[in-house]
Amino acid sequence: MTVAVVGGGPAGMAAAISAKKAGALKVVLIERAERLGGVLPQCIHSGFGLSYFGQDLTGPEFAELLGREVEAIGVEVWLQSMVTEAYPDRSLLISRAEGISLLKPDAVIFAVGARERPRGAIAIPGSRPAGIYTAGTAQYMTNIQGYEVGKRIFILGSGDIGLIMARRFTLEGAKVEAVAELMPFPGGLSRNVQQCLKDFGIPLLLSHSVIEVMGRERVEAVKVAKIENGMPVAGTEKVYEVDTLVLSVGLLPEVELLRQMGLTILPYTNSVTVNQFFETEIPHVYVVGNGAGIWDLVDHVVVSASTAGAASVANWGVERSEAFVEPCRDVRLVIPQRILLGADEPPVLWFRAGKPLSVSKVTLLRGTEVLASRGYLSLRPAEMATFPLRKEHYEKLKPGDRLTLCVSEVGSDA
Amino acid sequence: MEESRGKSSELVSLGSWDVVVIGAGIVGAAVFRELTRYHLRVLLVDALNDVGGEASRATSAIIHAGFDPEPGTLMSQANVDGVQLWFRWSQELSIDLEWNGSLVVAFNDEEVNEITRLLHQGKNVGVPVKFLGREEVLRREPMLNPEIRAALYAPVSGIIDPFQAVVALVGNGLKNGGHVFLNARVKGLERRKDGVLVHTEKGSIQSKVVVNCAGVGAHKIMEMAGETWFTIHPRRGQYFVLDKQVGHLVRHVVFPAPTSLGKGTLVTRTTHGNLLIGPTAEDLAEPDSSTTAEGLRAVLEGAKRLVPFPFERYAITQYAGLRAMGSTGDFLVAHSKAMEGLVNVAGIKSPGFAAAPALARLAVKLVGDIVRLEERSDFDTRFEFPPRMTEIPFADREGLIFEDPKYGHIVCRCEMVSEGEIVSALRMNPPAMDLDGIKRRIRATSGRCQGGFCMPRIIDILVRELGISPNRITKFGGRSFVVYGDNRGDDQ
Repeated sequence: MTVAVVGGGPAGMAAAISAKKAGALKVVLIERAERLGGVLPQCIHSGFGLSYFGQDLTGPEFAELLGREVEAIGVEVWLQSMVTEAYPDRSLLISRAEGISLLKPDAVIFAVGARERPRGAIAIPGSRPAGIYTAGTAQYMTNIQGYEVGKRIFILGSGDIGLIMARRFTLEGAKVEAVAELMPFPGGLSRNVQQCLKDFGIPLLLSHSVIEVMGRERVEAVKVAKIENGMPVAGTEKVYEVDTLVLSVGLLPEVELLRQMGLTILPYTNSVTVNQFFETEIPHVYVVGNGAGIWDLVDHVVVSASTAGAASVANWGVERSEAFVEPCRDVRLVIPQRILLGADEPPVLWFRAGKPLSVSKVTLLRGTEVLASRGYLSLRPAEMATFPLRKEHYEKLKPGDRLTLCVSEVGSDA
Repeated sequence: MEESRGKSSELVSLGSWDVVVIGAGIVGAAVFRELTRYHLRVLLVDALNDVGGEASRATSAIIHAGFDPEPGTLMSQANVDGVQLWFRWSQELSIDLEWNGSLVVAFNDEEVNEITRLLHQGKNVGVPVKFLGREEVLRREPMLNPEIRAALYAPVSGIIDPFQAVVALVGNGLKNGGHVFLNARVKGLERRKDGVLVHTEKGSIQSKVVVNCAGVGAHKIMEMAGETWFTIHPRRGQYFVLDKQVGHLVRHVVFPAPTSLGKGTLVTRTTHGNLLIGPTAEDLAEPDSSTTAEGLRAVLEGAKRLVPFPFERYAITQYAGLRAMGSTGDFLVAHSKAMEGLVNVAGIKSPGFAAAPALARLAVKLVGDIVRLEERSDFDTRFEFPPRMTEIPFADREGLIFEDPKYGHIVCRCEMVSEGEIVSALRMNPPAMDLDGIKRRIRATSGRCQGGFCMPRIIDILVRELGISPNRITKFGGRSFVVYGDNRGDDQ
């Protein structure tokens, strides 16, 4: 059988490797860029691979290790190849320097990643000069192209890429004036707040946002204010004279190809529903990595994508009956949203809390009936947590069950 | 005269011309194109790095049917005539123009009266219009606010690609022997014995006739000629552009009933398939095309009144444009009262896009009062854009890729633009010179990620194709530099 993997980032590489390992005769890995790795090659900081490879790696190193495996195991790699259309029967129209190809694989795994929310998505008012970049774009320009993006920089959003870039810009000799975060808590991992901001003395302004961009040709300043109930608080405005505004205000799964296949997009993950094998509602069509919902660590992405790769081969032709899971109360997202019943292993639910919580109890409910629960010392919106379902709980699930995953804070004492 | 195409300047400054057109917006571009029908040496001058860089890139891009302006005004006549001309022009010049019709909806008795008045007004000036009841309106537009009572339907109105329109008109004029001089802001006019001397930032140009199409700055050109009776103030309009996934929320251009401040906040699809909502109508003392929090809020409120929908969720960008509000309330196309040889085309606000072809014809007539108009037998009416991969059959795509593998390399994934197409935008005439020029010609960076993925890659293509260093690449000319340089130190 043939498995096509769309997207050669960490999720795509992991899925391709595991599909090949599981016995797929032919695995084609389709990547639009000139190299494999997705965003990893531009993530030159360390902190990758701690749980998957058991060592502290940089992004390029992590990509290199996975890339070697891709090559060794005999995955067919198509670079500078773009799937321009995906049809409901799983065929893919691919544009390459060699021409246009139509591929109809037995299974498709979409590992198409995410895009960054641009300025327009949050409608920051003001002028439209040069010098406004999303953090990932600025990272590519700085680390891959070697361009000096700005000299005096303001960063909006404390997502991980924004935090990482605050440090990176500083190391490149730019002055990062401050990082503003709309929420009352940071968006990125705690270790990044410490290592990228505090260690460099860069102020983090919580509950603040940029309310105006100024400058005609290039950014000249940004106006920042404290935000309460979605509105700037009068008298808290401050103008920062900067030449660059960098935005780290969230990622959105790339779902265009999934939509073309006829799949429905969920509003709270901004992606399609998947089961524990990351299979969509169309049989033999999978979506992994940030395309399925935004993950925290590449290690988690690789683990989850491997599940899909193996399933794309092993699960071939399985009869399906499913239960459904939805997030509730302070749970921002749950992956999977559908649980395929009768699999050999019980599933693991991945979830993100909606706000920082100390000691908490997470409960899987069927109506009001508690099916399973677990305690957590702390939960942070920046981090993906797991809720492994035990075999006896999994076996209790019936086709069509509607489950909710809820969290409640037990107390503030750890 | 290659230099006249925007790359540089010096040679043109010594030139002597029959007609100089000031301002490469939709009106100036149309005048330019129409003048190249004749045996004339024509030069189009603009202050910016590209054509269509000011008001014409920031409008609703609607070809209004013509029922709205007061009958008997130039505005009314030019609108009605302009619509007829756009039928032919859009085909000659391969400009995307869809006649999707418009609806002006009424929520109450007062508004029903207003659309009834517009119905009669439309019939008076010969514009096809119909009154539709609530049921028919909702059948046509199921997403509309169910509280509407009726609508005025104008089948012959449409949406146009405003960027293509300007580029195609200028391109056609260039093809027919006209010249373009960019980055040359006009600083003064001087009457000479045999014409007018136009002083620009890049030197002076002698011309027998000057046509002032300077948009929101047209009164400043008039002032340079000593003419102060006509003034212009900018009226700002703010807009939201939304993701293509909601582009088909409405079929027609949907307007509220008009007020004294204009046609109100509309909801429409664009020719590119996005949804567009706006504009506001804010009278300003000085030109300022910034968006504001209040303005953007007003756009959302206005649009939600027509179509109750969470527009903000699908926002990809916002912009503001300036409309040139002339002091007479009507369009002005006339010989200058102060300087012989100057023709003013001023105060062109909405429905300026619709009216542009007719205004151009009028302006050309006035030019003919000063210089002899002798039609060229070899005038080529046609203009074609370089091929877009997504708009041609698979076999033709294969053919292009075979000839040039760059056409197989997709650079902008949101709008599916290949490297070959980006290069073609840099090589067409008028060429793109900057990131916005590429965006307006072939859509790269205008999609849902707003260039997050492709913009850095386009910088590299610009560096390669234009042969300039990265720190000279701009977003829209001037000092809108995209990067400061190369931090590897092998560039500066």
